[in-house]
Amino acid sequence: MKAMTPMAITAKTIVNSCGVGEASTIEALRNNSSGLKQQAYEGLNFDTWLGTVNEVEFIEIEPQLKRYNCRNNRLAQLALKTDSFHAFVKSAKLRYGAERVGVFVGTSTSGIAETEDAYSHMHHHDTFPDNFDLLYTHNMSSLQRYVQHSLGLNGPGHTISTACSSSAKVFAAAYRHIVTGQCDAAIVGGVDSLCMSTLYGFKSLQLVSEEICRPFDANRNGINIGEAAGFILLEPVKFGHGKVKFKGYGESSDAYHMSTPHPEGDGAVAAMNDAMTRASLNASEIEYINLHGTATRNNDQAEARSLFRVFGDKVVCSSTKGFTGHTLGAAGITESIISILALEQNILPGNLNMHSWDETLRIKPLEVTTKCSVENVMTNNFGFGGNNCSLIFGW
Amino acid sequence: MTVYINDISVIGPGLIDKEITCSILLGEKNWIYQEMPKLIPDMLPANERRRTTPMIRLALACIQGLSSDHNDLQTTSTVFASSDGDFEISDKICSALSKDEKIISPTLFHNSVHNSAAGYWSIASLIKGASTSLSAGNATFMSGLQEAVTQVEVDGGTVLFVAYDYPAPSPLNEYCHIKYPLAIAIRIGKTAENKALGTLTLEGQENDIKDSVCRNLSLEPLRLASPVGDGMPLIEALVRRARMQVIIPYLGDRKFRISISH
Repeated sequence: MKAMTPMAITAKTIVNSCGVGEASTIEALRNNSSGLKQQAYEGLNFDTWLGTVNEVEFIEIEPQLKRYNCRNNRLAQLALKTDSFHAFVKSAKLRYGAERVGVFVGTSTSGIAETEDAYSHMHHHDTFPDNFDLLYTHNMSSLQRYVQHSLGLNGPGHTISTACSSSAKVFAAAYRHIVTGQCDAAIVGGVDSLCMSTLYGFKSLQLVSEEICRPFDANRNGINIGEAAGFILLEPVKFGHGKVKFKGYGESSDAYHMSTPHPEGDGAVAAMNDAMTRASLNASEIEYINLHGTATRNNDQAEARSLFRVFGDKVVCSSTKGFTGHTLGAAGITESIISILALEQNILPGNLNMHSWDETLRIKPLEVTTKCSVENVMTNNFGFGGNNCSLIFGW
Repeated sequence: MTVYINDISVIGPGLIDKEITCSILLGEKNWIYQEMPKLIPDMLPANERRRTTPMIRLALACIQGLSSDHNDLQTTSTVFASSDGDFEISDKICSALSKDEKIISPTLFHNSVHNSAAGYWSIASLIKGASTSLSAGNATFMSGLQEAVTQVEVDGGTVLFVAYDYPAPSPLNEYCHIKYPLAIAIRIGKTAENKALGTLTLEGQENDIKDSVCRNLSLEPLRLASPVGDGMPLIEALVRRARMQVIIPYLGDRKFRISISH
């Protein structure tokens, strides 16, 4: 495995239940204040906490792209128009040409909420609604096509959909296309929006908590689902002097079970080691790890074991799911941006809601956000199907 | 970028028996639509196999059609490309959610991820390398092939690429663009195996050029029946051992020019 050529993070935008734009996420991290709320949601018949982005209700898809209209793409647009992202993309377009900027994005459920609504309509009226457009909303490629059109880009790309590792793996795909000269720069990102399929699906696996999620807590009892969107502009380092760099990635499969992680975290260990090899860094040089930390019994246990095997018990880490909820296909980009903010803002995020640490895990996350300046951080994302991805960012 | 095509496999209606498939691809026989039999990917343990759907079984059976003696557990990665994923699962989930009780089974939910076939494949093969599942709509075949070739170029090793699509059940089928099921699997490497079929070079993108058609014109309905069908002229060229170029549709109006040598 070859060392990777680092790429600069030259722009970023983030939207989640902590708020719209990176200033809101920074404020939430600094104040240890969660975006999760115990709230009713149309169609939901059980109690849980949710990470909703209410601002998405006021977003309208551009008239010429209205076939793409669905909550997922509206959330994408909300992120694209935040944090001056358009301006950065515009200058990248001028520098490289629209056909030389790739778009690699991740989602787990795309616009499935439209299909859910169409079936509900069918249940009551015996027909699908007139404007139902499966291939422009629910089809997994909808997000990539929408973002590419909305930004006026014409380079390579696709939508990666590997459940909760989707928008972490986009960094690896974009890097490979840049380093082989198929594009000069790339937009990477991810979006997942609330839908009944994931809420009732995780409920069927008894993985949804009725309370606020408590990663690494002895009494943790499941996830809270959140929605989120985030995008990053990835460019060669020569155009991003002084910016945080994307330094390494590791991808692996558990080859164990469709919805349960390998109990000893074998796949996670492989992903973390490969990311460090590509970044030419060793375990002692990784100063903070943003955990996948979903707050299910099995995930946190397997992840803690994998961390112990790679880093021992002295590692500094936290799960930020207590701030945003588990944003599923958007977790990779959300937690990558949080990790980059940790580097830029000199803060290490706290692990909210961990009131009584599960000592059996041996790995103890930071309880509250702490001021600290670090060089290199890692973020982990693991998905159904045993799909793992670890990323490294640093100065 | 140039890579070796070390093996290929195709499964679709009328393309079940390997010898018959080969003579159709060579142009010795005409393709005729035949109902798909129930595919049995017997590399999966029985308890996992009974949870699979026709789409998952199509993808797995197609990969199983590749010779397996070159599956290096350490250095093999997989790229699974499907435009639409499993609309049979979406249909069942959305139907259940439209009722008052809203009850979904755990198996239905874990089969709903776009990487379901990849997950079952890794469990069956014990291959623990990187695994990507992607969609690019109508450009899914070419985008998946591009990702697979790119992975081989960057990391060496072997990439198993499989493109697969399955028609949606009623009523979603009226809104979906897949007429026939079809799967194409290709084992790609930076080095040639003993029985390598030839080399493949991604020459670049062009506009204003027509897509390659199947040389065996009877295969045209299958080529046009799904995004995976875009790969049929490439598979024909590889089986015919013809030195040639094929044009495969990509994103928007763009096409990829691909050279095949033997």
